[in-house]
Formats: sequence, C-alpha cells, structure tokens
Amino acid sequence: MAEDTAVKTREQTGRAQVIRSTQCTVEVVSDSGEGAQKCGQTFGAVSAKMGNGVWTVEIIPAEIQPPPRSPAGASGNRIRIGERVVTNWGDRTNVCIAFNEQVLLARHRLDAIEDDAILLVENMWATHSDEDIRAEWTAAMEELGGAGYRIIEVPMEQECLTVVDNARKGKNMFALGILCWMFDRDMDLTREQIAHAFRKKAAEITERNHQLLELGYAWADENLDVRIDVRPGLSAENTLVMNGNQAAAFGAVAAGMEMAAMYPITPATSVSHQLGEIFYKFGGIVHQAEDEIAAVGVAIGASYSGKVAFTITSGPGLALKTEFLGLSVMAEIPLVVVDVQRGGPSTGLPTKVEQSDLLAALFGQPGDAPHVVMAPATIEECFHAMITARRIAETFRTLVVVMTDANLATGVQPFPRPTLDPAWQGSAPDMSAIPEGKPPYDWDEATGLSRRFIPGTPGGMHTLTGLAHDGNSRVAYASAINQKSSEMRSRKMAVLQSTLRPPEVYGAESGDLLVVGWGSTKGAIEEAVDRARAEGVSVSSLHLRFLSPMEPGLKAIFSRFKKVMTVEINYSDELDMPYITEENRRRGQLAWLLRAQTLVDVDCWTRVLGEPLRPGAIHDVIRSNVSKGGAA
Amino acid sequence: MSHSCSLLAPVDEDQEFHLDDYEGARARWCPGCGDHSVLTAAQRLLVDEQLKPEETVFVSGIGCSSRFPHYMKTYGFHGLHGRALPVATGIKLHRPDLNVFVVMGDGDCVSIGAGHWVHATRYNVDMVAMMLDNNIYGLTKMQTSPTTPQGYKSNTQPQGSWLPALNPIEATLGITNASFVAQTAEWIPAHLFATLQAAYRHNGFAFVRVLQRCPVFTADIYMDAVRNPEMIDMLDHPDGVPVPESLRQIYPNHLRHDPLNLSAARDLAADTSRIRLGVFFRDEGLPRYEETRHLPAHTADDKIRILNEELDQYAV
Amino acid sequence: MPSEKKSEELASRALEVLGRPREEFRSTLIVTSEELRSLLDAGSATAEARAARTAAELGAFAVGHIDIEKFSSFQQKGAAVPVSEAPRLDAASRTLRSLLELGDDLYFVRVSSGGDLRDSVSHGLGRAGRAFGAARTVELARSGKYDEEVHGGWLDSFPPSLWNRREWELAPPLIVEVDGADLRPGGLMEFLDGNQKIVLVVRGPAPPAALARLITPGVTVLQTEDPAELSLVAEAEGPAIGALMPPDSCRFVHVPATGEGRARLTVHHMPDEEPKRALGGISVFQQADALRHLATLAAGWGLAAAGDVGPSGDGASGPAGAATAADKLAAWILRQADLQEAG
Ligand SMILES: Cc1ncc(C[n+]2csc(CCOP(=O)(O)OP(=O)(O)O)c2C)c(N)n1
Ligand SMILES: [Mg+2]
Repeated sequence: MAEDTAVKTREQTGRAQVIRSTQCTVEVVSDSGEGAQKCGQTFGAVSAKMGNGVWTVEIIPAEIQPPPRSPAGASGNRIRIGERVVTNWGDRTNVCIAFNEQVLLARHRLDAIEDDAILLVENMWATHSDEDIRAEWTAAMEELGGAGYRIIEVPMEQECLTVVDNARKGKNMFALGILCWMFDRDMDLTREQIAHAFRKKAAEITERNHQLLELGYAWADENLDVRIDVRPGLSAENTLVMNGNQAAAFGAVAAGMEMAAMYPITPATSVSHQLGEIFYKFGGIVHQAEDEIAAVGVAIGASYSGKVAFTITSGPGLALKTEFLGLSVMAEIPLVVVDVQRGGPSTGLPTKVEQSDLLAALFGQPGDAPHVVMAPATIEECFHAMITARRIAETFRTLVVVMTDANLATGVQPFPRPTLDPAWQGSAPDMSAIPEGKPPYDWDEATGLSRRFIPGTPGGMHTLTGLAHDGNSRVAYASAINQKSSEMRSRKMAVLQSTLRPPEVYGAESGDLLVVGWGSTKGAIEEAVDRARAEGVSVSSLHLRFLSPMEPGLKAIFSRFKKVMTVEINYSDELDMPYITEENRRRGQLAWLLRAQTLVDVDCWTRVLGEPLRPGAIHDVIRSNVSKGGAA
Repeated sequence: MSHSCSLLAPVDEDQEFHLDDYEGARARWCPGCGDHSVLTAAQRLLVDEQLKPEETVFVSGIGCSSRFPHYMKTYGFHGLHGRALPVATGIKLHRPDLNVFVVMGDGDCVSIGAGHWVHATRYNVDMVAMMLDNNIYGLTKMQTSPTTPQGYKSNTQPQGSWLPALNPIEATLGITNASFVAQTAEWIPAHLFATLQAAYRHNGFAFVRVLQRCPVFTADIYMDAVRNPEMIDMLDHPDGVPVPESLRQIYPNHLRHDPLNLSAARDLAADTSRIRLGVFFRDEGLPRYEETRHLPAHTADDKIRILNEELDQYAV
Repeated sequence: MPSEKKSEELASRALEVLGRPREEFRSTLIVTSEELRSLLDAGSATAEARAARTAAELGAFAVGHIDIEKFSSFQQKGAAVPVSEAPRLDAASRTLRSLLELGDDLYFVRVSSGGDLRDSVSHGLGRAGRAFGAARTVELARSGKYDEEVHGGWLDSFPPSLWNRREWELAPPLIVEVDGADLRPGGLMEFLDGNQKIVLVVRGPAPPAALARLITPGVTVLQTEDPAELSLVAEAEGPAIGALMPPDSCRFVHVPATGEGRARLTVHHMPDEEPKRALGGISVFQQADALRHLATLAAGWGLAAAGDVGPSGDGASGPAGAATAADKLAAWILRQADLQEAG
C-alpha cells in the first residue's frame, strides 16, 4: 500500500492474509454501460453506512461512445474509504477491479495505480475466440506485469453465466460481491442498498443482483487470499450521502428559492436533474431555457419580481451570461449563479475538474461590476453555501456567484445531516406601500444599501434600467452621477467585507510556509499539511470561502510566514520553463488576486491534469518549498 | 411557480385611473416618431382596462423604441438589447398576477433576440409582445435591420440592403404554439388601439408587429402606405380585430379572415405585395407555459417537512 | 333517494374538480400568512432578536466566516408596525393559520334539512372570508386606522357583503350540500360576483330547473348529474354556479359572453315528468315556473339544440338525446303559450 501515514499491519486469519489500514482507495473500471458505476457507488454507500469515511468520484470515459475494450473507454468509480472522515480522493489506487485488461491498462498508464496495488481482472479475454483480443490481452498483461502489481485473474463471465444469460449486465454485482468479501462489508446492508438502487425496476432484477452479489462473495471466499481491514471509526448516524451538485440542489430548496433557470452543461447539469425530481414539490420551477442567456434572463426576471432566483452553469455558459450579470449588478437585482467549473477555455474538458473560472467570475463583466464570489470547499458546504448566498444576494441587492467544480459536483461523501431551519428561506419580499417620494435607489450614503421595489408594491412604480442612472432610476449621463452610483455599488462590497471574519489558519499561526487554497482542494491540501507536519515540516494552510469581497486580515496572516503560496487547479507557468521569467510568469488565479490585494510575493503551484489534486503531490510540493525556503 | 398575490396590499380598490396615472417621464423620441403614437395607444388601453399601475410591468430591450417604459408610470424594466422576452418570461412565471407588456425594436426582436422571439412564441406565456418595426436600427443611427427592405441604403450597407427583408409575421406564424399574431400600424391609431386591446385580452403570448415610421432614417418606407389607404388590406373578423367603424370608409379594402385559419393566415402573410393589418391568427386553446407549470404555494414549515422526507432518501 | 354516503361521495368529487380554485385560494392564504409572519418577525424584534434571526437565515456556511451581529445591522428593517398594534397582527396571523389548518373543510358547508340555503352560503363564505378580514385588519393596524368598534368582528366572520372587487376576484370556492326540498337558489344571486365558484350537491328530489332563475348574462350556470362536468364551473371566467342534481332533472349549461363570443344556453335534458308534488315549501307552480323560465330563455337565445354545441361535449346525450331534449323544450314552450292563453 501507499507509503503514507496509514497504519498498516499484516496478519493471517485462516487462509487469508489481512492487511489493516487506516484508508484504502478502490477502483472499479469497465467499458461504459457495464455498470461499474453502480458497483462503486453501492460499495461507497455501504461503507458510509457502516461508519467509514468515504469519498467517491466517477471515472468518466474520455469519449461518449468509445469502442469496447479501449483505454479511452475506461469508466467507473474510485472510492476512497477510511477509518475517519475522508476529505478528498486520495493518491493512487490500492485495489482495482477491472472488467477488461484495456481499461486497467488505461488506469496504469495514467499513473493512477499504486505500485503494490492488488488488481483483479476479468480473464475471459485470455481465451477469447478473436485472435486480436488474445494478443491484446497478452501484450497488456506483459506491460502490467512489469510494474510489480499483485494481479489476480477472475473468471467473471464464466461465473456470472451460471446465473444470468448476459454476463455483461451482471458482472458489476459479481464484482461488488468480491469487494464485499475483501473489505468484509455488511451483506445485509449491501442487499438493502442494491434493492434501493433498483427500486424503480422489476423485483426480479433486485433478486438477480442479490444472487450475483452472493456469487461474487462466495467466489472470493473460495479463491482469494487477501483481505483489507479499514475499520469503521465514525458514527453513521444522522448522516447524508450525496454529491456536491445534489447538495447544491437541496441547498437551493432549503434556501427557499423557487426558480432555477438553466441550460444543460456538464458538469453543472445534474443540479437541475436533481431539482427536476423534487423542486416542484416545493413550488419550484426548473426552467430549461433556450440558451444560457435566456436562462439568466428568466432568473433575473423572476428575481426582480419577488424571491431570489438562481441559474446554474459552467464556464462556457458563464461566458454567455456575462452581459446579464452586468445588468444584475447595475440595476441591483439580487441573483445567485452557481458555476460548476470544468476545464477550459472554450469547450475545454467538459467532464474534468479545474478552477480556472475564478478571474472570469470576478472580472468577466465589462465595465465595473462589483459583486460577490464565494466558494464552498466541501460537499457539505455546497448545501449550506446556497443558503448564505441567497441571504447575501437579498441583503446586499447583489449578484452572488457560487463557485464549485467537477470534483465537488461528482464526488460523493457522507456529511452530517443538517437540521433544517425554516428561517433559511428568509422572509417574504417586503411589498408594503412605498412612502411617497422615496426613490428606488435610496442609497444609504455610507453603505450604498437600499430597499428593493418589487412590482406589485404600491407607490413603487419606476423603470429599472441597465443604463447609468441616478437614485430615481432615471437615465443619467452626467459624470458626477455615474461616479456616485458606481461608488454606491462598490461600497456594498466594502460593507459586506466589514462583516467577514479573517480566515482561520489550519496548523500553526506562523511558520515557514503557508499554503492558500480555495474551493474543492481543501481536503487534499489539509491532508498534505498533516503529513508534512507529522514529519516536522513547518507548514500551515488557509482556505478562502469569499473571493470577492476578499476575506479580511490576509496581509497580517501572510506576514507571519516565510513563504506564502497558493495551490490551485488552474494553469500557471513555472520558472524553469523556456522564456518564463519572474516578470512574465502567468500565475495561478488566486495567486494573482492575492498579490494584487496584499502586495505579498505569493508564489503558486498549480496543475491542470483534469483531475483533483492528490494530497501526495501537494505533500511533495510542500517539502520541496520548505527546503527551498531554507527554513527546514 | 406559485406566487399568488398576497392579500396584504393596501390598494384602494375603488380608485379610478385616468390617463395621467399612466404617464411617466416626457417622451423624448424625435418629433414625428411613430413610437409616440404607440405610447398613447398603450396608455389609453391601460385606462380602458383600468389596469393598476403597480401591477403592470413594461419590459423592453435596448433601442429607441425600448425607451418606452420610462414614459409609462407603471413598473418598467429597460434591460438588454434583444433580451426583453426572457426577462418578461421570468417575471410572468414567478408572478402570473402581473400584467406584462414587452416593447421591442426590430433589431431587438428579430435580430439579436431572434432565438428568444422563437421560444417565447412557443412558450406562449400570457403577455403582449409589441415589436415596433421601423425597418432600421434607430438608436445606433441607421444600420440595416433584418426587416430593412432589400436595396434600402443604410450606414452599414450603403449600397443597399443585400438580402430580402425578413417577414416577421410569416415567421411567427411558423412557430409551433403561436397563439396570437397580429399586425397594425402606428399611423392608424384606432386600429392600433383595437389591436393592442385584442392582444391584451388574449390569453397567451400576443405578438403584435407595429409598423412604425422613423422620420429620420426611414421616412420614405411607409410614406406611400400612409398616403394611400388603398395599399392596405384590413383583416376583418369578430374573433380578430373588427375594422373600427371610424376606419371602414377610409380603408376600403376589407378581407374577411377567420383568425383560426392558420393556413389562410400564412398565405396572407407570405404575400408581401400588400400591407395587411389585423389579426392573422388567434387560438386561445393552446397550452400556456405559465399555466402548465403552475404550482401551489407552500408554507416554510411545509417545505421543511417535505425536504426532510426527500433527504431521508440520502440518509445513511 | 341518494344515501348520505352518495352525497358525500359526490361532494368529494366536486372538491376534486374544484381543485384549481381551491388551490388558488389556499396559495393566497399561504402567501399572505408567510408575508405576515415576516412582518411580525421584522416588526417586533429587538436588535438581539434580529441578530438571532439573521444568524438563522445565513445558515451554517456563515459560521466562523461572517460576523452575524454586524451583518444583521445591514439588513433591511422592513415596514415598521407600531408596537401597540402587534397583538392585532398576531390575531390576524392566527386567523390565517387556523384557516389553513381547516384544510378542505374550509370549502364545505352542509345545509341541514329545512335550513336556509342563502344563510349557509353566506356563513361558509364569511368563514373563508376571514382571510380578507385578517388582511384588512393588518392594513388598518399598520396605517393606524384600526377601530375596534367597526372592525372588531372581522376575524370571526367577514361576509361577502363586505368584500371589495379584489376580494371577489380571489373568492374561495364553496361546495354546499343541500336537500332538494331546500333548493331555493334565488337568494344566491348576491354571491355571484367576481370569481366566485359555488357547487351545490343536491340530496333527494329537487325542483327540476331550480338554477334556471340564476341565469343572467355574466354568470356561468350549470345543472348536471355528472361531477366531471363541474369543470365548467371550475374553469369558468367570472362567477359560476353548478348543481349536481338528482336523476331526471333538467341538464343545462349557460356560458356567459366572453370577449367577442356570444353567451350560450344549451339544454341537454328536460325531465320526462312534469312537477307534480310540492317539495318542502316549493310549490308545483314554482317548480314549473322555473322550467318555463328555462324554456323561455332557451327560446329567446334561439334554442340551442343540445349535443352539437354543448361545451360539455356530453357524450351521453348523443343526437337522439339531443332531438328529444329539443322536442321536449319545444313542447314546454307550447305549453307555456297555452298557459298564457289560459291565464
Ligand atoms: C449587446 C449589444 N449589442 C449592440 C448594442 C447596440 N445597439 C443598441 S440599440 C441597437 C439597435 C436598435 O435597433 P432596434 O432594435 O430596431 O430599435 P430602434 O432603435 O430602431 O427602435 C443596437 C445595435 C447594444 N446596446 N447591445
Ligand atoms: Mg428599429
């Protein structure tokens, strides 16, 4: 297993060797359509129910309809389980179960697999009637064989055919059975979970899947000699398991919002899938508009006329919404935008994680358009952030962009079930008569805040405009007025900032290195910091939730560290690259912001590998930066 | 969406509204601009229907014509070029209790906002959508619009518009679920008023193309039609806009056209040799999106209860 | 005679068909009640209470990241209500909540045998009308115009005689169970306004054309045996009343003029038997006179032959049924002429 802080002991019980570990990462991979996802999800859910920490991510094929048995088609799930809370997807894989050798090869070539990993692979291909396939198998096994893995061949097809006619449809549950044996999962819970997963299908299907599960379990019991013991160390009581998009969808409901306007775009779409299932029960509409522009327009129209509405998108859609976002700022119409970031620019990497929209979200709107940008750092926070976002949008009559990413969107994790509070839904919009003479932008001189006039409110008639306007919402080109209204809109950000607390430092309050992150990287960064600190490295980290306005006190915190650097999933140049100098180096987006904000020489380490950062990689970066800094 | 109106509205139910209750800022269109006439007709309509100013919203895009809401004393939303319809759709979805009017220019509606025009027509959300068609981009000073006649010179196409003009009525009639498609002219106030009234009373998305003179850039385009009523056919039907009594003599050409007859409507619209005013098509039996998506309201506590039930499915 | 159970079943069918107007009234109650709750939250609170409220509203994401007290100081305060008026607002809020708790019962009244139909309807509407009374109480209290003398009873009953135009537009639908013998709908005229929908579920023998007297140009009036047809009442624009009648009553529908369309009266069925017995206090003459009234109206409207233009699309009365309905109607008109000659 990976060289990390995990406790590992090996012992022999009966025939099988038992490896005890604090955490373990498992992958289930297949061609798409063979159900590896269902196998992985069920394994993750059962583990969570047993009280293990869990983080699950999907392995998504690079192509929509890849040919079978091609490395590009690798599809499935990666499940990291631990004794305690698991905050990220971890490092390389310890156990991989593959339905053909090509998808396994793909994972190997992506360097996704730990050197001493246990690999279980369907071996029907070795004796396949097609000569080419047999040759592929031989070549692949040779390549894999050279890497030092522990490879176990599994006759999945052959076994499954004893229960079903089409083994392609059954291997996933057979594989699940094997995993259940290896990790000693609670079989009753597993059966229950399967029944739940197939609740919309005929009862025979559940029954057949139960049979396959047991078949896999029995096969493993008979044929395998290694088991892994990751002890459940958590109480699973009052816990929810879901991904970040689901959490955001439920958060929107909890926040009392009633209009989600969207246009489908990966990886944001599943928020609307979730809402599509439930929103109507709360009087909420998911409006799939004709395009992203219309989507944000509908959201703005709804918000303008009552409760705060929201729109959900990803990079390319955010670009299209830009003009309307400017209008929302200019006319001070509250609005929540969820940006589930993917790789970019342009169509980029639709299914992969990146944190490259930060500057676009902050500064993408032409003209000066001050607004709020916040970023939940965990799946749990995806739920709660929606509630806070709605409140801020309304109180400050502002646009709030909530930035998540594909890692949070598709990662599945248990988190404490929130105790729902009706106050999250806020108050009904104030529609009491407007006193005569009160202007629609009755800006408080100090704060820039004003009451919103909602159609239907007696005495509030006025024409809202995206043109420069005075307090009466009258179009005004006079320079002094534009200066004034710009000031009022900007002031609101300062006022909001005055209510923010300085971020908490994770680890010691001062030291050699401070790692700063935002969004989904929190778990990986903190795990890396833990590992480094355990080795005596003087490193701390800090995670920002508010990017605009920026959280206060950063300069003071930074001054207590010898070096400050960001760790982000976006592109930055490195100094040892050709032509790159201190002067022309393009830095990570948060680093860019922090340097501008604090005048501190903030360094960065960023990667755009289309995958979440690994704690091991960050750990390496920390070590090399601290020794470089000469402090260690 | 579920927004039923709250009872907590201190509205004087017996108040009678007069023209000046609907008059906003002084209109600043050029003298002779056809938009003035549309404004007057709209204000007259509101008086006639006694619409409450606070329950009425005029939504517009950007252009000369889109200045419209500023001159009304209702709620107004002067948003983005081409994007009035999505905003109006959002308003009406959230607040079906409001009266929604949309004012767009030709560039606004059938060029930059063309996608929204198609889809708003199909959504068939209850509102009046006026397109003030002066065949030109007015505000930005005389650029060719999709409805500029072929060969007509502009600043962007000084050799004359390269393409045949887009026919907005014919195009709208081609959109699935179009429920009200009419054409009128601002220089015939009685017809304009009658058409807007029919549009307002229609349950659904009422698309009205208003032929509108721009005295500065396209003064000559409608000149002949203004001078010579012979050039105009009035579509006449009790279910559409019956030709107003005052116009029956002046406009001698009446075409009896049943607005339920879609194929006849398409033929009439496609034939551009004549200017035809009136209701081409009207069907109140078509599904309205805001109706289809109507939902009951819930108390905050109710929502909590339902949400807890939903979350149970994700409980470990 | 239909059993108690039968009329209960019919009433619940009627309730179903009136789903939309019911839901609309309920939604209005909910929206109003939530708005009032917000008003109470905002109005009465001290700075501390407001901060606590803000903390709750901001939720868990704000914990550790936002200074709640400070944030709270920037919240819009909402319309202030004089503290002295708080109890009034509380009472109004309780009234709204109690109406919500009544659920579907809010839309039901039962006229006990021999009871007065008009009074029961007035009572039923006055009960749901308490919502209007509550809202008005809030408005009066807010503007300092509340006067116990005048407005004191509004939370207990707010009868239609006090409703304004808007309230009539938002009127709650009402389903009324009544014995045929008590079916004197003349008194209901005053409730047919705005958007009022009333459905009468008639128990036992009834005057066959009782509702004919309610036919006026602006009101939808329906007599039927089929609860599904009540959708004509539910979906009507403007005031509408329908009755679920015992077998062999008149079946007709009157649809008022809308837009450019003309009003229509369509008679689907005339009873085989002429009224022979007095029902409760309703004499044979009165019963027959209502029938004559219907016949006269139908004739005046140009005798719409049932079955072809019937908006209900009543399949049961196909062409044959239509012919007999028309025949019977003609016969009635003749007889009416006879009567006039005789008289
Ligand atoms: C996104 C965007 N593109 C371009 C413009 C510039 N612009 C403003 S109005 C207009 C055209 C106006 O023409 P039309 O819609 O026909 O209205 P009119 O002025 O003729 O009434 C244009 C191109 C703009 N405001 N926004
Ligand atoms: Mg134009």
